Amino acid sequence: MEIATKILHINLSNNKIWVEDVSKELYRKFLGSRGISAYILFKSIKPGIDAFSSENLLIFGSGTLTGTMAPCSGRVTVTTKSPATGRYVKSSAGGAWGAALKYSGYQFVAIHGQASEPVYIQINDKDIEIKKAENLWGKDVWETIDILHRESGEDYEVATIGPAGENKVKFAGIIFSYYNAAGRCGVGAVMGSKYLKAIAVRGDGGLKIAEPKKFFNLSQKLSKKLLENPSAKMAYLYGTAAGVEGVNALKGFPAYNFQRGYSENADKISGKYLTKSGLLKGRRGCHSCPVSCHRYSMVKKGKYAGCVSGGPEYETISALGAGCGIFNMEFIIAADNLCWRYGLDVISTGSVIQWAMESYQRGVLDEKLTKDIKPEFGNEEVVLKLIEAITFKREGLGILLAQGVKIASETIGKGSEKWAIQARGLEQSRVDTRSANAYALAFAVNPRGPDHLHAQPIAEFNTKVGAEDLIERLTGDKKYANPYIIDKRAEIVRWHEDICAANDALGFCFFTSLSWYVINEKNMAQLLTYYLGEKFTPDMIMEAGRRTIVLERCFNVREGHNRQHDVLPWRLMNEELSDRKGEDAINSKEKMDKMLEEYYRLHGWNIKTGIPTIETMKGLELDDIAQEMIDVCNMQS
Amino acid sequence: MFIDIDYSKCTGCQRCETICSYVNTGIISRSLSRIKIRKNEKKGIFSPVVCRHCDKPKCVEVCPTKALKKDKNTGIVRLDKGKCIGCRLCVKNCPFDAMDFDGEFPFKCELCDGDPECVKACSVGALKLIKETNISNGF
Repeated sequence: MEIATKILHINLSNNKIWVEDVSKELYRKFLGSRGISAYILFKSIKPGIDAFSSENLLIFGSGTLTGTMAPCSGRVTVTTKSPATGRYVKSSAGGAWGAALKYSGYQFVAIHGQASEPVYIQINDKDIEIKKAENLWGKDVWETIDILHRESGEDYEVATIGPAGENKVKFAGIIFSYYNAAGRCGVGAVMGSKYLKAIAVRGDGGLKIAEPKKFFNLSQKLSKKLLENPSAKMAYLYGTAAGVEGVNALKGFPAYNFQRGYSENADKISGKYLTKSGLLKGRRGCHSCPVSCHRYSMVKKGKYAGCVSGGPEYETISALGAGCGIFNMEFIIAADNLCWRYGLDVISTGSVIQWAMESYQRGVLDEKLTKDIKPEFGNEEVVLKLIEAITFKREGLGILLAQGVKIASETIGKGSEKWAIQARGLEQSRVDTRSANAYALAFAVNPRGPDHLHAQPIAEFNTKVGAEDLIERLTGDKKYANPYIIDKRAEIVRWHEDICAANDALGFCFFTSLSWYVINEKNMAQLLTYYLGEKFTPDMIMEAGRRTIVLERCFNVREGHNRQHDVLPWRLMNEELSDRKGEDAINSKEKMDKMLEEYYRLHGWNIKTGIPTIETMKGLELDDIAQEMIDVCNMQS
Repeated sequence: MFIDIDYSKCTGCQRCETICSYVNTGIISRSLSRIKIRKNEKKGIFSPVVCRHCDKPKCVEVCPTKALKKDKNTGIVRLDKGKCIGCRLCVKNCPFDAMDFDGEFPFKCELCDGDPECVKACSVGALKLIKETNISNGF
């Protein structure tokens, strides 16, 4: 019995398998999955490589505390170079796959090279096999897991791609155990490019903790605290979709491709509606999560009878519903059902379809391209047809949209870039950042693109327990707990970035530390100290988070990123939100420039270029990274 | 005394497994847990499997060395390792698949001496301790 601190390396080009220990030094510097994976990726791949080439690396990393009873600690990260953005991506998933990997004795699986035919990997404790996957290739996610369960046993946790990943759709995700997705930035397409269909894992091993009693007691205390939190209670009752009505009231709930931030019918697609309508069949908790915000829903009657979903989540509801002008929960479950089975990221899928709808509305889509599909807002059948067309890259719209909205809009032109809701190649997640300035800044500097999962600075709204005190601690005054002002957004965003990086590394669900503010640097340091038996302090936790942020930034700079890329989608920076109007209704360049400059200054980055200085890198003990930046990017020390 | 299960409430988080294995063995492991969540993720069905401390326990009946015994006062079925020869007849005959084997001895839930940690840890209320000894939960 050990604490599972190993990396399992598998090279699919030559079937070589080897195991590496993670050094104490790497834990001290990066804490766990997210940071350590970013470091391995930075050191292992050369800048400029094609994300679909055999040189790319695909790293699965369980959180350092994943598998234990620390509450909500079950998450796994997937790290690679994204085919959608050409940049660093960390996408993460819940479920129990990460815990199963830990019980097998490993924390990481790093996939190198490229197989010459479809394969899958089976990890049964220390027995590692690369197996032929001819019978799985072409199968959807659920069929694949069913077959693997039948062949190998139901206690395998399976991470797999669907046909979207096989076909290298730029926003294909990886699905873990039926209903948990690492969806964003095309991590599933990278897996498909490696001809890797699935990784099935089980383990009889266990985790031995350095100071178990203290670890156990603190875990129980934190679990209790989470359960007392009113937002966590709402999450249990109504899922992440508990937020639909609140965000809608703030005029930040994107509808009709971000043409609207408010929907009159939002109550028809809310978490409350899902529960009260009887569509909700059960609640689901990821590994070791006492909260259980995940859903299991099923349509029993009507047109969509038989459709099930491991959701739908808030993001799904906005992306496949309101965003497409559809306010029918049964339809949303049906569309979500297809995305689960095909292995598509719901946010990007919804986004490309909405772009097509608006382009059609504005008359810039040729009928030769749309053929028999008329993408009009509100048309349910069109959405389902387009999900199929994208997955199988069918002639016309399918091939176009499977490239992601950036390339699709550049291909069509005619001004359609203006309503392509993307930046850096990633479709924005479902928050109208025109209604919140810290969100706007966080989305603009997020290394993987404009979304909420690298820093969700919800404290600025002052709607959560502890938010006001946190804002006072970060900025010196409670008055900054206001999303409509731009002062001090840099301080707020940077803290959320740091804690998020630490949170991800340990395997915590990001709600615990970035929305409910229960898991924090103090208890993270205690838990990690008890777990590893090495002293960690709150400052070390935050510094490791910061180090991770700078490392990720350096990865992107090495790929050509600089200040000009720290932007939001065109619409959000140039058009007022129709439901709000006025100063607070736009992420203008002026406002963004001011926030960015404060942010770079706070970080110790070059204000003109947005690039971390060599001094900043060295101050964070990233000397080897600094040397690489001097050698490769001609940076001056 | 036994653990009553409300199957409709279990969310499959497996927190009970991590806590059970730790409390009973000092190690966090799915395979060493006395309670196991049988998961049908696809259908969203999660079924905790744990010893029911049956009225007339099969395991007690088949044990050739009388290592397993049902306590008359508490209703808890316990294993006396001193008498156990590791034949695994009990594991084989448990009608609920609630016994396992660690390589040396069989193991099962012994209700943490009447104050089960899994029940305390189950935040959704799927596990409940029934203290009355005159109610049957199994054979």
